[in-house]
Amino acid sequence: MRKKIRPLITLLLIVFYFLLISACTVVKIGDEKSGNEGEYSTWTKTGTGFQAADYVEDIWDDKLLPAYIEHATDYMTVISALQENREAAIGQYGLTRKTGEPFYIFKVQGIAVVVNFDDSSRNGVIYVDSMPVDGIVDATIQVGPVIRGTVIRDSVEFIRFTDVGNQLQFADLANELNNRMKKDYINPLDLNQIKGHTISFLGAFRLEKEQSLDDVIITPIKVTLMDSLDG
Amino acid sequence: MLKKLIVITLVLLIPAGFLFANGGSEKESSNLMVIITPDKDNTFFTAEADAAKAKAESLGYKTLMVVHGDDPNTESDIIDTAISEKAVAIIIDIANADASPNNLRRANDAGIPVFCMDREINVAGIAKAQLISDNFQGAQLGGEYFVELLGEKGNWVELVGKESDTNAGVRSQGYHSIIDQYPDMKMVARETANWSQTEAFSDMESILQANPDISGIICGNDTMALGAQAAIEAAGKDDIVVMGFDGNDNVLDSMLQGKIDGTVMQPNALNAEMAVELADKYIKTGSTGMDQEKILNGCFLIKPDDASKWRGFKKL
Repeated sequence: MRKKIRPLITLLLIVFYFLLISACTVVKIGDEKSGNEGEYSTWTKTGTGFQAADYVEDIWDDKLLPAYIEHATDYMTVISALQENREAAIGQYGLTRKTGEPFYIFKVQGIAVVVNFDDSSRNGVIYVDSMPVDGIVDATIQVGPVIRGTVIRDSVEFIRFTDVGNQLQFADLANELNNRMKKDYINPLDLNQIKGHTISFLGAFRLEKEQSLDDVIITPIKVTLMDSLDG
Repeated sequence: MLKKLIVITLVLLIPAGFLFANGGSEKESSNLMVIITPDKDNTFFTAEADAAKAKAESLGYKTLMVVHGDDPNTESDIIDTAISEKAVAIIIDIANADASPNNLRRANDAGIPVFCMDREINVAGIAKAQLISDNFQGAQLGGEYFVELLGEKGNWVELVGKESDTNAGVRSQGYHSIIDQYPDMKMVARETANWSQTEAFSDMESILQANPDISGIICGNDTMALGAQAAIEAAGKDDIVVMGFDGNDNVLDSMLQGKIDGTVMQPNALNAEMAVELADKYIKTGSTGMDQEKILNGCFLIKPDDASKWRGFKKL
Protein backbone atom coordinates (compact mmCIF):
# COMPACT_ATOMS: atom_id res chain seq x y z
CA MET A 1 0.00 0.00 0.00
CA ARG A 2 2.62 2.48 1.18
CA LYS A 3 4.96 1.70 -1.65
CA LYS A 4 2.36 2.61 -4.23
CA ILE A 5 1.28 5.89 -2.63
CA ARG A 6 4.73 7.35 -2.04
CA PRO A 7 5.75 7.85 -5.68
CA LEU A 8 2.32 9.29 -6.36
CA ILE A 9 2.72 11.89 -3.61
CA THR A 10 6.20 12.73 -4.83
CA LEU A 11 4.92 13.12 -8.36
CA LEU A 12 2.09 15.37 -7.19
CA LEU A 13 4.52 17.51 -5.24
CA ILE A 14 6.80 17.84 -8.22
CA VAL A 15 3.89 18.86 -10.43
CA PHE A 16 2.77 21.35 -7.77
CA TYR A 17 6.31 22.71 -7.56
CA PHE A 18 6.52 23.33 -11.29
CA LEU A 19 3.10 24.93 -11.28
CA LEU A 20 4.35 27.40 -8.68
CA ILE A 21 7.53 28.14 -10.58
CA SER A 22 5.75 28.58 -13.89
CA ALA A 23 3.39 31.13 -12.33
CA CYS A 24 6.37 33.49 -12.10
CA THR A 25 7.53 35.34 -15.17
CA VAL A 26 11.22 35.76 -15.59
CA VAL A 27 12.13 39.26 -16.77
CA LYS A 28 15.70 40.17 -17.46
CA ILE A 29 16.62 43.43 -15.78
CA GLY A 30 16.95 46.06 -18.41
CA ASP A 31 14.64 44.33 -20.87
CA GLU A 32 11.39 45.28 -19.29
CA LYS A 33 11.44 48.89 -20.39
CA SER A 34 12.64 48.51 -23.91
CA GLY A 35 9.10 48.57 -25.26
CA ASN A 36 8.40 51.88 -23.64
CA GLU A 37 11.64 53.52 -24.60
CA GLY A 38 10.79 52.85 -28.19
CA GLU A 39 8.10 55.44 -27.80
CA TYR A 40 10.79 58.04 -27.67
CA SER A 41 10.82 57.48 -31.39
CA THR A 42 13.86 57.45 -33.57
CA TRP A 43 14.94 60.84 -32.33
CA THR A 44 16.24 60.18 -28.91
CA LYS A 45 16.54 57.60 -26.25
CA THR A 46 18.82 59.45 -23.93
CA GLY A 47 17.75 63.00 -24.59
CA THR A 48 20.60 63.73 -26.96
CA GLY A 49 20.95 63.56 -30.66
CA PHE A 50 17.80 65.31 -31.75
CA GLN A 51 18.55 67.53 -34.72
CA ALA A 52 15.81 70.10 -34.99
CA ALA A 53 16.86 71.28 -38.46
CA ASP A 54 16.82 67.74 -39.84
CA TYR A 55 13.47 67.06 -38.30
CA VAL A 56 12.01 70.26 -39.75
CA GLU A 57 13.45 69.39 -43.14
CA ASP A 58 11.73 66.02 -42.89
CA ILE A 59 8.30 67.29 -41.97
CA TRP A 60 8.00 70.73 -43.56
CA ASP A 61 6.89 69.82 -47.08
CA ASP A 62 5.68 66.31 -46.39
CA LYS A 63 3.62 66.71 -43.27
CA LEU A 64 3.39 70.27 -42.01
CA LEU A 65 2.29 72.23 -45.06
CA PRO A 66 -0.15 69.45 -46.06
CA ALA A 67 -1.66 69.53 -42.54
CA TYR A 68 -2.25 73.26 -42.94
CA ILE A 69 -3.59 72.98 -46.45
CA GLU A 70 -6.01 70.34 -45.27
CA HIS A 71 -7.15 71.94 -42.02
CA ALA A 72 -6.76 75.70 -42.36
CA THR A 73 -10.03 77.60 -42.38
CA ASP A 74 -10.70 81.05 -43.80
CA TYR A 75 -9.54 83.53 -41.16
CA MET A 76 -12.67 85.69 -41.32
CA THR A 77 -14.88 82.62 -40.92
CA VAL A 78 -13.01 81.56 -37.80
CA ILE A 79 -13.03 85.04 -36.25
CA SER A 80 -16.75 85.54 -36.93
CA ALA A 81 -17.49 82.14 -35.44
CA LEU A 82 -15.42 83.01 -32.35
CA GLN A 83 -17.26 86.31 -31.97
CA GLU A 84 -20.59 84.60 -32.26
CA ASN A 85 -20.01 81.62 -29.98
CA ARG A 86 -16.55 81.17 -28.58
CA GLU A 87 -17.07 77.69 -27.14
CA ALA A 88 -18.63 76.33 -30.29
CA ALA A 89 -15.97 77.87 -32.52
CA ILE A 90 -13.19 76.42 -30.37
CA GLY A 91 -14.83 73.02 -30.71
CA GLN A 92 -15.24 73.34 -34.44
CA TYR A 93 -12.00 75.00 -35.54
CA GLY A 94 -9.61 74.92 -32.58
CA LEU A 95 -6.97 72.41 -31.61
CA THR A 96 -6.97 72.20 -27.82
CA ARG A 97 -3.54 71.84 -26.25
CA LYS A 98 -3.84 70.44 -22.77
CA THR A 99 -1.54 72.27 -20.45
CA GLY A 100 -2.18 73.85 -17.07
CA GLU A 101 -4.34 76.51 -18.61
CA PRO A 102 -5.58 75.04 -21.86
CA PHE A 103 -5.04 77.07 -24.99
CA TYR A 104 -6.33 76.68 -28.48
CA ILE A 105 -4.61 76.85 -31.83
CA PHE A 106 -6.47 77.79 -34.97
CA LYS A 107 -5.05 77.09 -38.41
CA VAL A 108 -6.19 79.79 -40.80
CA GLN A 109 -5.73 81.02 -44.33
CA GLY A 110 -6.77 84.06 -46.28
CA ILE A 111 -6.17 86.51 -49.07
CA ALA A 112 -5.71 90.09 -47.94
CA VAL A 113 -4.39 93.51 -48.82
CA VAL A 114 -1.54 94.79 -46.64
CA VAL A 115 -2.70 98.02 -45.00
CA ASN A 116 0.49 98.73 -43.13
CA PHE A 117 3.88 97.33 -42.15
CA ASP A 118 4.86 98.24 -38.60
CA ASP A 119 8.54 97.74 -37.82
CA SER A 120 8.71 99.99 -34.76
CA SER A 121 9.56 96.82 -32.86
CA ARG A 122 11.88 94.06 -34.03
CA ASN A 123 8.80 91.92 -33.65
CA GLY A 124 7.48 93.50 -36.84
CA VAL A 125 3.90 92.97 -37.96
CA ILE A 126 1.77 93.63 -40.99
CA TYR A 127 -1.84 94.70 -40.69
CA VAL A 128 -4.05 93.27 -43.37
CA ASP A 129 -7.53 93.80 -44.75
CA SER A 130 -9.03 90.46 -45.72
CA MET A 131 -11.16 89.93 -48.79
CA PRO A 132 -13.63 91.47 -49.42
CA VAL A 133 -11.55 94.64 -49.02
CA ASP A 134 -13.34 97.31 -46.98
CA GLY A 135 -10.49 99.43 -45.68
CA ILE A 136 -10.71 97.95 -42.18
CA VAL A 137 -7.81 96.00 -40.67
CA ASP A 138 -8.95 92.46 -40.05
CA ALA A 139 -5.80 90.69 -38.95
CA THR A 140 -2.29 91.16 -37.61
CA ILE A 141 0.45 88.89 -38.94
CA GLN A 142 3.89 88.80 -37.33
CA VAL A 143 6.69 88.97 -39.86
CA GLY A 144 9.71 89.50 -37.61
CA PRO A 145 12.63 89.54 -37.78
CA VAL A 146 11.71 88.50 -34.25
CA ILE A 147 8.99 85.86 -34.34
CA ARG A 148 7.37 85.36 -30.99
CA GLY A 149 5.94 82.18 -29.58
CA THR A 150 5.82 78.52 -30.50
CA VAL A 151 2.57 78.46 -32.43
CA ILE A 152 3.86 76.58 -35.46
CA ARG A 153 5.23 73.80 -33.29
CA ASP A 154 2.07 73.63 -31.21
CA SER A 155 -0.29 73.71 -34.18
CA VAL A 156 -0.13 70.08 -35.22
CA GLU A 157 -0.91 66.98 -33.21
CA PHE A 158 1.85 64.91 -34.72
CA ILE A 159 4.49 66.98 -32.94
CA ARG A 160 4.48 65.78 -29.36
CA PHE A 161 6.79 66.80 -26.55
CA THR A 162 7.29 63.20 -25.43
CA ASP A 163 8.48 62.16 -28.88
CA VAL A 164 10.95 64.99 -29.21
CA GLY A 165 12.75 64.42 -25.93
CA ASN A 166 13.51 67.21 -23.51
CA GLN A 167 12.57 70.86 -23.21
CA LEU A 168 15.71 72.13 -24.91
CA GLN A 169 15.10 70.02 -27.96
CA PHE A 170 11.44 70.91 -27.98
CA ALA A 171 12.41 74.58 -27.79
CA ASP A 172 14.97 74.16 -30.54
CA LEU A 173 12.28 72.69 -32.68
CA ALA A 174 9.97 75.68 -32.18
CA ASN A 175 12.77 78.07 -33.14
CA GLU A 176 13.76 76.04 -36.13
CA LEU A 177 10.19 75.99 -37.42
CA ASN A 178 9.98 79.77 -37.04
CA ASN A 179 13.33 80.15 -38.81
CA ARG A 180 12.29 77.90 -41.65
CA MET A 181 9.17 79.98 -42.21
CA LYS A 182 11.20 83.20 -42.22
CA LYS A 183 13.77 81.80 -44.59
CA ASP A 184 11.25 80.45 -47.09
CA TYR A 185 8.58 83.11 -47.03
CA ILE A 186 9.46 86.31 -45.16
CA ASN A 187 13.02 86.93 -46.31
CA PRO A 188 12.06 86.96 -50.03
CA LEU A 189 9.46 89.67 -49.38
CA ASP A 190 10.42 93.34 -49.60
CA LEU A 191 8.45 94.41 -46.56
CA ASN A 192 9.14 98.11 -47.10
CA GLN A 193 7.35 97.89 -50.42
CA ILE A 194 4.56 95.58 -49.38
CA LYS A 195 1.95 98.11 -48.30
CA GLY A 196 -1.05 98.08 -50.66
CA HIS A 197 -0.20 94.74 -52.15
CA THR A 198 -2.24 91.56 -51.97
CA ILE A 199 -0.92 88.50 -50.19
CA SER A 200 -2.19 85.03 -49.54
CA PHE A 201 -1.30 83.57 -46.20
CA LEU A 202 -1.44 80.29 -44.36
CA GLY A 203 -0.81 80.35 -40.65
CA ALA A 204 -2.06 79.82 -37.14
CA PHE A 205 -2.89 81.74 -34.03
CA ARG A 206 -3.04 80.86 -30.40
CA LEU A 207 -5.95 81.85 -28.23
CA GLU A 208 -5.94 81.61 -24.47
CA LYS A 209 -8.99 81.07 -22.36
CA GLU A 210 -9.65 84.70 -21.48
CA GLN A 211 -7.72 86.37 -24.27
CA SER A 212 -9.49 89.06 -26.26
CA LEU A 213 -9.91 88.46 -29.98
CA ASP A 214 -8.38 91.92 -30.50
CA ASP A 215 -5.03 90.52 -29.35
CA VAL A 216 -4.92 87.72 -31.88
CA ILE A 217 -1.67 87.64 -33.84
CA ILE A 218 -1.20 85.23 -36.69
CA THR A 219 2.10 83.42 -37.08
CA PRO A 220 2.35 82.60 -40.77
CA ILE A 221 3.85 79.42 -42.09
CA LYS A 222 3.51 80.60 -45.66
CA VAL A 223 3.05 84.06 -47.15
CA THR A 224 2.94 84.66 -50.89
CA LEU A 225 2.67 87.85 -52.84
CA MET A 226 -0.30 87.68 -55.21
CA ASP A 227 0.67 90.65 -57.34
CA SER A 228 4.04 92.06 -58.35
CA LEU A 229 5.72 94.64 -56.14
CA ASP A 230 6.61 96.65 -59.26
CA GLY A 231 2.98 96.90 -60.28
CA MET B 1 11.31 7.16 4.65
CA LEU B 2 8.48 9.31 5.88
CA LYS B 3 11.02 11.73 7.33
CA LYS B 4 12.71 12.00 3.96
CA LEU B 5 9.39 12.71 2.33
CA ILE B 6 8.62 15.50 4.78
CA VAL B 7 12.02 17.08 4.14
CA ILE B 8 11.50 16.93 0.39
CA THR B 9 8.04 18.39 0.76
CA LEU B 10 9.36 21.25 2.87
CA VAL B 11 12.19 21.97 0.47
CA LEU B 12 9.82 21.98 -2.44
CA LEU B 13 7.45 24.30 -0.61
CA ILE B 14 10.07 26.98 0.10
CA PRO B 15 9.51 28.88 -3.17
CA ALA B 16 5.75 28.58 -2.57
CA GLY B 17 6.24 30.28 0.75
CA PHE B 18 8.01 33.19 -0.92
CA LEU B 19 5.27 33.45 -3.46
CA PHE B 20 2.51 33.66 -0.89
CA ALA B 21 4.43 36.06 1.31
CA ASN B 22 4.95 38.30 -1.68
CA GLY B 23 1.32 38.12 -2.75
CA GLY B 24 0.19 38.90 0.76
CA SER B 25 2.31 42.03 1.09
CA GLU B 26 0.99 43.44 -2.16
CA LYS B 27 -2.52 43.19 -0.88
CA GLU B 28 -1.79 44.98 2.36
CA SER B 29 -0.20 47.93 0.51
CA SER B 30 0.91 50.77 2.70
CA ASN B 31 -1.22 53.58 1.24
CA LEU B 32 1.89 55.72 1.59
CA MET B 33 2.97 58.31 -0.97
CA VAL B 34 6.59 59.35 -0.61
CA ILE B 35 6.99 62.96 -1.69
CA ILE B 36 10.57 63.98 -2.42
CA THR B 37 11.68 67.55 -3.09
CA PRO B 38 15.09 69.23 -3.31
CA ASP B 39 15.13 71.71 -0.48
CA LYS B 40 13.39 72.88 2.68
CA ASP B 41 14.51 76.51 2.45
CA ASN B 42 13.54 77.60 -1.04
CA THR B 43 9.87 78.59 -1.03
CA PHE B 44 9.55 77.29 -4.57
CA PHE B 45 10.17 73.75 -3.37
CA THR B 46 8.22 74.04 -0.13
CA ALA B 47 5.18 75.25 -2.07
CA GLU B 48 5.56 72.28 -4.39
CA ALA B 49 5.88 69.87 -1.45
CA ASP B 50 2.91 71.42 0.36
CA ALA B 51 0.71 71.23 -2.74
CA ALA B 52 1.58 67.57 -3.29
CA LYS B 53 1.02 66.71 0.37
CA ALA B 54 -2.34 68.46 0.55
CA LYS B 55 -3.55 66.77 -2.63
CA ALA B 56 -2.35 63.33 -1.51
CA GLU B 57 -4.01 63.64 1.89
CA SER B 58 -7.24 64.87 0.33
CA LEU B 59 -7.24 61.68 -1.73
CA GLY B 60 -6.81 59.59 1.41
CA TYR B 61 -3.09 58.78 1.27
CA LYS B 62 -0.55 58.91 4.03
CA THR B 63 2.52 60.94 3.11
CA LEU B 64 6.21 60.85 3.86
CA MET B 65 7.92 64.15 3.08
CA VAL B 66 11.67 64.06 2.38
CA VAL B 67 14.31 66.32 0.78
CA HIS B 68 17.41 65.19 -1.10
CA GLY B 69 19.31 68.49 -1.12
CA ASP B 70 20.24 67.97 -4.80
CA ASP B 71 22.37 65.00 -3.72
CA PRO B 72 21.81 61.82 -5.76
CA ASN B 73 23.19 59.67 -2.91
CA THR B 74 20.65 61.03 -0.48
CA GLU B 75 18.03 60.54 -3.12
CA SER B 76 19.15 56.94 -3.47
CA ASP B 77 18.77 56.37 0.29
CA ILE B 78 15.30 57.89 0.19
CA ILE B 79 14.31 55.55 -2.61
CA ASP B 80 15.48 52.61 -0.48
CA THR B 81 13.32 53.84 2.36
CA ALA B 82 10.34 54.16 0.03
CA ILE B 83 10.92 50.59 -1.12
CA SER B 84 11.18 49.21 2.41
CA GLU B 85 8.10 51.16 3.45
CA LYS B 86 6.29 49.63 0.47
CA ALA B 87 5.16 53.01 -0.81
CA VAL B 88 2.28 53.00 -3.29
CA ALA B 89 3.87 55.82 -5.28
CA ILE B 90 6.83 58.16 -5.34
CA ILE B 91 6.25 61.81 -6.22
CA ILE B 92 9.61 63.44 -6.88
CA ASP B 93 11.40 66.57 -7.96
CA ILE B 94 14.65 64.86 -8.92
CA ALA B 95 18.16 65.56 -7.63
CA ASN B 96 20.16 65.30 -10.82
CA ALA B 97 19.19 64.72 -14.44
CA ASP B 98 22.06 62.27 -15.01
CA ALA B 99 22.07 60.28 -11.78
CA SER B 100 18.40 60.21 -10.80
CA PRO B 101 17.10 57.87 -13.51
CA ASN B 102 19.09 54.98 -12.01
CA ASN B 103 17.75 55.68 -8.54
CA LEU B 104 14.22 55.80 -9.87
CA ARG B 105 14.69 52.62 -11.86
CA ARG B 106 15.24 50.78 -8.59
CA ALA B 107 11.88 51.99 -7.33
CA ASN B 108 10.35 50.76 -10.59
CA ASP B 109 11.98 47.37 -10.17
CA ALA B 110 10.44 47.17 -6.71
CA GLY B 111 7.06 47.82 -8.28
CA ILE B 112 6.65 51.41 -7.09
CA PRO B 113 5.38 53.81 -9.75
CA VAL B 114 7.27 57.10 -10.00
CA PHE B 115 5.84 60.51 -10.92
CA CYS B 116 8.17 63.42 -11.63
CA MET B 117 7.33 67.06 -11.15
CA ASP B 118 9.26 70.22 -12.07
CA ARG B 119 12.61 68.76 -13.20
CA GLU B 120 12.51 66.27 -16.02
CA ILE B 121 14.43 63.09 -16.69
CA ASN B 122 15.54 62.28 -20.20
CA VAL B 123 14.99 58.54 -20.08
CA ALA B 124 11.55 57.39 -21.10
CA GLY B 125 9.54 54.73 -19.36
CA ILE B 126 10.90 55.19 -15.83
CA ALA B 127 8.34 57.76 -14.70
CA LYS B 128 4.68 57.04 -15.31
CA ALA B 129 4.25 60.76 -15.86
CA GLN B 130 6.40 63.89 -15.76
CA LEU B 131 4.69 67.17 -14.97
CA ILE B 132 6.94 69.96 -16.14
CA SER B 133 6.59 73.72 -16.28
CA ASP B 134 7.11 74.99 -19.80
CA ASN B 135 10.34 76.70 -18.85
CA PHE B 136 11.19 77.69 -22.38
CA GLN B 137 7.82 79.27 -23.06
CA GLY B 138 8.07 81.03 -19.67
CA ALA B 139 11.58 82.28 -20.42
CA GLN B 140 10.41 83.61 -23.76
CA LEU B 141 7.64 85.53 -22.02
CA GLY B 142 10.18 86.90 -19.55
CA GLY B 143 12.66 87.71 -22.32
CA GLU B 144 10.04 89.55 -24.35
CA TYR B 145 8.98 91.65 -21.37
CA PHE B 146 12.61 92.36 -20.47
CA VAL B 147 13.32 93.59 -24.00
CA GLU B 148 10.16 95.70 -23.93
CA LEU B 149 11.13 97.31 -20.58
CA LEU B 150 14.57 98.15 -21.94
CA GLY B 151 13.11 99.67 -25.11
CA GLU B 152 14.79 96.95 -27.20
CA LYS B 153 18.27 98.31 -26.41
CA GLY B 154 20.87 98.48 -23.67
CA ASN B 155 23.57 96.59 -21.78
CA TRP B 156 22.30 93.60 -19.90
CA VAL B 157 23.47 90.85 -17.59
CA GLU B 158 22.32 87.29 -17.27
CA LEU B 159 22.49 85.30 -14.05
CA VAL B 160 22.22 81.59 -14.76
CA GLY B 161 21.11 78.79 -12.41
CA LYS B 162 22.86 75.60 -11.39
CA GLU B 163 24.34 73.90 -14.42
CA SER B 164 23.39 70.35 -13.35
CA ASP B 165 19.76 71.44 -13.50
CA THR B 166 18.29 71.17 -16.99
CA ASN B 167 15.94 74.03 -16.25
CA ALA B 168 18.86 76.45 -15.86
CA GLY B 169 19.90 75.77 -19.44
CA VAL B 170 16.37 75.76 -20.76
CA ARG B 171 15.58 79.18 -19.31
CA SER B 172 18.84 80.65 -20.49
CA GLN B 173 18.19 79.40 -23.98
CA GLY B 174 14.64 80.74 -23.83
CA TYR B 175 15.91 84.20 -22.84
CA HIS B 176 18.53 84.20 -25.55
CA SER B 177 16.12 82.95 -28.20
CA ILE B 178 14.33 86.27 -27.79
CA ILE B 179 16.94 88.78 -26.63
CA ASP B 180 19.64 87.78 -29.13
CA GLN B 181 17.34 88.80 -31.94
CA TYR B 182 17.68 92.44 -30.88
CA PRO B 183 21.05 93.74 -32.11
CA ASP B 184 20.95 96.76 -29.79
CA MET B 185 20.70 94.55 -26.73
CA LYS B 186 24.26 93.87 -25.59
CA MET B 187 25.03 91.21 -23.02
CA VAL B 188 27.99 92.48 -20.98
CA ALA B 189 28.18 89.64 -18.46
CA ARG B 190 26.80 86.15 -17.98
CA GLU B 191 27.50 84.24 -14.79
CA THR B 192 26.14 81.30 -12.94
CA ALA B 193 24.99 82.10 -9.43
CA ASN B 194 23.76 78.54 -8.77
CA TRP B 195 20.19 79.63 -7.94
CA SER B 196 21.65 81.32 -4.84
CA GLN B 197 20.71 84.72 -3.49
CA THR B 198 24.07 85.31 -1.82
CA GLU B 199 26.04 84.26 -4.90
CA ALA B 200 23.87 86.49 -7.06
CA PHE B 201 24.54 89.38 -4.70
CA SER B 202 28.33 89.01 -4.78
CA ASP B 203 28.43 88.32 -8.53
CA MET B 204 26.37 91.43 -9.23
CA GLU B 205 28.46 93.55 -6.89
CA SER B 206 31.56 92.96 -8.99
CA ILE B 207 29.72 93.07 -12.31
CA LEU B 208 28.25 96.47 -11.40
CA GLN B 209 31.69 97.78 -10.49
CA ALA B 210 33.10 96.68 -13.83
CA ASN B 211 30.11 97.88 -15.86
CA PRO B 212 28.60 101.12 -14.65
CA ASP B 213 26.06 101.39 -17.47
CA ILE B 214 23.88 98.33 -17.07
CA SER B 215 20.22 98.68 -18.03
CA GLY B 216 18.90 95.29 -17.05
CA ILE B 217 19.55 91.99 -15.29
CA ILE B 218 17.64 88.87 -16.21
CA CYS B 219 17.85 85.96 -13.81
CA GLY B 220 17.22 82.24 -14.11
CA ASN B 221 15.21 82.25 -10.92
CA ASP B 222 13.70 84.50 -8.27
CA THR B 223 16.23 83.99 -5.50
CA MET B 224 18.99 85.23 -7.80
CA ALA B 225 16.76 88.18 -8.76
CA LEU B 226 16.45 89.05 -5.08
CA GLY B 227 20.25 88.93 -4.74
CA ALA B 228 20.72 91.08 -7.83
CA GLN B 229 18.15 93.60 -6.63
CA ALA B 230 19.93 93.83 -3.27
CA ALA B 231 23.27 94.44 -5.02
CA ILE B 232 21.70 97.22 -7.10
CA GLU B 233 20.37 98.87 -3.98
CA ALA B 234 23.71 98.45 -2.20
CA ALA B 235 25.39 100.16 -5.17
CA GLY B 236 22.95 103.05 -4.82
CA LYS B 237 21.33 102.50 -8.21
CA ASP B 238 17.62 102.26 -8.87
CA ASP B 239 17.16 102.44 -12.63
CA ILE B 240 18.13 98.88 -13.49
CA VAL B 241 15.46 96.47 -14.68
CA VAL B 242 15.46 93.12 -12.85
CA MET B 243 13.54 90.09 -14.06
CA GLY B 244 13.15 86.88 -12.09
CA PHE B 245 11.65 83.48 -12.78
CA ASP B 246 9.45 81.28 -10.52
CA GLY B 247 6.92 83.66 -9.01
CA ASN B 248 7.88 83.27 -5.39
CA ASP B 249 6.15 85.40 -2.78
CA ASN B 250 9.26 87.41 -1.82
CA VAL B 251 9.67 88.55 -5.40
CA LEU B 252 5.98 89.38 -5.70
CA ASP B 253 6.38 91.55 -2.57
CA SER B 254 9.45 93.21 -4.05
CA MET B 255 7.45 93.93 -7.22
CA LEU B 256 4.65 95.46 -5.18
CA GLN B 257 7.29 97.75 -3.60
CA GLY B 258 8.38 98.84 -7.07
CA LYS B 259 11.76 97.08 -6.95
CA ILE B 260 11.92 93.91 -9.05
CA ASP B 261 10.24 94.56 -12.38
CA GLY B 262 8.78 91.23 -13.37
CA THR B 263 8.87 87.50 -13.02
CA VAL B 264 7.49 84.40 -14.65
CA MET B 265 5.04 82.34 -12.63
CA GLN B 266 5.64 78.64 -12.77
CA PRO B 267 2.58 76.44 -12.36
CA ASN B 268 4.49 74.41 -9.79
CA ALA B 269 1.61 73.87 -7.39
CA LEU B 270 -0.36 72.62 -10.37
CA ASN B 271 2.49 70.32 -11.43
CA ALA B 272 2.59 68.83 -7.93
CA GLU B 273 -1.16 68.38 -7.71
CA MET B 274 -1.36 66.82 -11.16
CA ALA B 275 1.50 64.44 -10.31
CA VAL B 276 -0.44 63.21 -7.27
CA GLU B 277 -3.72 63.01 -9.17
CA LEU B 278 -2.13 60.96 -11.94
CA ALA B 279 -0.48 58.73 -9.33
CA ASP B 280 -3.85 58.17 -7.71
CA LYS B 281 -5.39 57.35 -11.05
CA TYR B 282 -2.55 55.00 -11.87
CA ILE B 283 -2.85 53.20 -8.52
CA LYS B 284 -6.58 52.74 -9.01
CA THR B 285 -6.75 51.92 -12.72
CA GLY B 286 -3.25 50.91 -13.79
CA SER B 287 -3.00 53.84 -16.19
CA THR B 288 -2.55 57.60 -15.95
CA GLY B 289 -4.98 58.04 -18.82
CA MET B 290 -2.60 60.49 -20.51
CA ASP B 291 -1.34 59.84 -24.02
CA GLN B 292 2.20 60.89 -23.23
CA GLU B 293 4.61 60.68 -20.35
CA LYS B 294 5.81 64.27 -20.40
CA ILE B 295 3.22 66.92 -19.80
CA LEU B 296 4.13 70.59 -20.14
CA ASN B 297 2.20 73.12 -18.10
CA GLY B 298 2.34 76.73 -19.27
CA CYS B 299 3.94 79.61 -17.32
CA PHE B 300 2.56 83.13 -16.88
CA LEU B 301 4.25 86.52 -17.15
CA ILE B 302 3.79 88.52 -13.94
CA LYS B 303 4.01 92.30 -14.23
CA PRO B 304 3.87 94.47 -11.08
CA ASP B 305 0.11 94.95 -11.57
CA ASP B 306 -0.42 91.18 -11.37
CA ALA B 307 1.80 90.66 -8.33
CA SER B 308 -1.01 90.93 -5.81
CA LYS B 309 -3.09 88.33 -7.60
CA TRP B 310 -0.82 85.37 -6.79
CA ARG B 311 0.37 83.76 -3.57
CA GLY B 312 2.08 80.44 -2.96
CA PHE B 313 2.37 79.89 -6.72
CA LYS B 314 -1.39 79.94 -7.05
CA LYS B 315 -3.77 82.47 -8.49
CA LEU B 316 -5.91 83.92 -5.71
